[in-house]
Amino acid sequence: MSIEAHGIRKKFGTYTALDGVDLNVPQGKLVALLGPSGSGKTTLLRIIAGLEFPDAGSGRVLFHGEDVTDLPAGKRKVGFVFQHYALFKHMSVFENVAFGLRVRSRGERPSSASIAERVHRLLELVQLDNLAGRYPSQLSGGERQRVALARALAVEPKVLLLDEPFGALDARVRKDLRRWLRRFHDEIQLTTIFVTHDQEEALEIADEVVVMNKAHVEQVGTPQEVYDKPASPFVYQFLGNVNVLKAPALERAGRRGPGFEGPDPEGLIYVRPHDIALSPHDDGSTGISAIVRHIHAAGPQAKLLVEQVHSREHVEVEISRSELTDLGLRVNDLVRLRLRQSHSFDEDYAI
Amino acid sequence: MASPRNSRTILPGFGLSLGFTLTYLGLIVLVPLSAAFMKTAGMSWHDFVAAVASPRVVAAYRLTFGASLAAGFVNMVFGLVVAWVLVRYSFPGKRIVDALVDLPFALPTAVAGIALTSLYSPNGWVGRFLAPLGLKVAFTWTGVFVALTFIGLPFVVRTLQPVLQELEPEIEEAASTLGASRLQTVTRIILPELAPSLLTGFALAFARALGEYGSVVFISGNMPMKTEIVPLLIITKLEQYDYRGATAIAVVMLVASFFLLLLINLLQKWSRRYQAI
Repeated sequence: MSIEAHGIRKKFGTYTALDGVDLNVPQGKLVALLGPSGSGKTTLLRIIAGLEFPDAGSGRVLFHGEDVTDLPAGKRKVGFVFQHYALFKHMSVFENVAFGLRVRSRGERPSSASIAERVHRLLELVQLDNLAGRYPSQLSGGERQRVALARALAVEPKVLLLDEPFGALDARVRKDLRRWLRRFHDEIQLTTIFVTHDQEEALEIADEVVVMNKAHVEQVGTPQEVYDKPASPFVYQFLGNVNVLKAPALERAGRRGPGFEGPDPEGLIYVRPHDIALSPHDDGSTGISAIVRHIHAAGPQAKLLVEQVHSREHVEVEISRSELTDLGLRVNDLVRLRLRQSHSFDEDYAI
Repeated sequence: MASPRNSRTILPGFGLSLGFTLTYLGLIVLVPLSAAFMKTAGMSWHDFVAAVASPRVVAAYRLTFGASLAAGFVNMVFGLVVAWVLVRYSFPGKRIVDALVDLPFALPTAVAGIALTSLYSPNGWVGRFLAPLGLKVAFTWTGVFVALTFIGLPFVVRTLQPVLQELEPEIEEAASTLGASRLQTVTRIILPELAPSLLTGFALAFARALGEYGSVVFISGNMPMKTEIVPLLIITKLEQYDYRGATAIAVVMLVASFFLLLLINLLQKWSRRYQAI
């Protein structure tokens, strides 16, 4: 089922959480709402779920073209997974998953045998069938999150909404679980929106990323699009590391590498650390002169901090470790920088 | 757990604090209680039965336990409502209401008793409107029940407040996204989660009511066989220099209260069965 939201506004007192937000999620996609805390992403998700309502007269939420703006959460057929799981502590895993079926009115309630069958199938799906009799307090964080997912799926939702689903888990479990979620989504093909502030997570598993900032949508696109062609300085900075360089300093340095596309000499230039090439500083070389200040080589990539000779601005550079060995760089060596790919925006643009 | 000798712990002072706890409890609780038992042990079985099972004493047990249980139940229900309102909503004067809850704790019980009596007596502010309806509160069973309800309320409210504060609103939202109605959310999610602390609050209010004396003696009228509570009976016996009779009744009260509280504790443990140790 596709999800659309049009012109959603939401204020909490004087604080604007959403200021005229539009969203369009096609059927069967896995979409990430990505943004820093306070950007309104969770509020948007809660409005889609029906746990929060948009300000009067401001906007509409449509499921498969049908207006659900005034429907309460229980009538929208959404599965919602909370950041802190919100499991029912006094119920076993089995009962937690069965809850959505047991509360149905008598006419719609499946028989207890078919409830049991369905719960076990769901627990198998999230690989927890052996823990059906446990209570939530006896489970690890990752297991609790999967119980929450199974519980949400038990009511056969048309849409799955996840609020920072991996936010409370440790790094290792997070990684495993998000890949599992991607595979899981490919299997069940349910339209899914998840909220995250972790750009790596969003870029890795989403079909489409919606970048939000300060109650607005900044950019919508595939992970590749938002990473390679950020629509605003905010998106540039939020998705991965970036160096913000003053253009005049580069002018004065006199040599700009190819791929520099900023026409505005007064503007700022955005360049990712891995889009900078280093070459030895000898007579024939071109590029910006800089001094190596720090080398951090523990990791898959070598990270260097260099200082431009003219402007004294610091620049972060990422090169492969073999490249570093070839260049034989040490701290305080002179190098040349070339920007393979960079981007500039109007400086007035507020970040 | 490993034996204390070969396991190092980062929480030192176990021996010292346990020793202190046992000594303290021994001096403050156990010695006076065992004195009551010893005094009673000096009686012959026949005297003992005569002292604790006379019709007047049995009527007093019935009144005390009955009214205390009823007051405990009423407090459990309305204390939950009060605690819920104080935790979930904000309204002008909330702090004052919150402070009012503690008044029955702080007020000398005799003052409470006199105040309640003058309110509920047939010509009091409240009693005057109840009298034409044929409702008598002061000097009846109902009066005892009213006084015990008054003194028990804070126990339930103060027990529930922190627990309600900890109750995440997300679990209610989760229930509603799963299609549960508000009534289903309350009966299947909220009440079961609160059950252990509701029982604690009930046990506290009930135990307090069993021993209550000051506020009850004024409003009850102290008619033998009708509105005489056990603590009053004990005082009466003491005034007649019947020390053994008084302690015998006290021992029966002690044992009965102990088993009732034990039962409540077991219930509570059962209602917490889902908590990992």
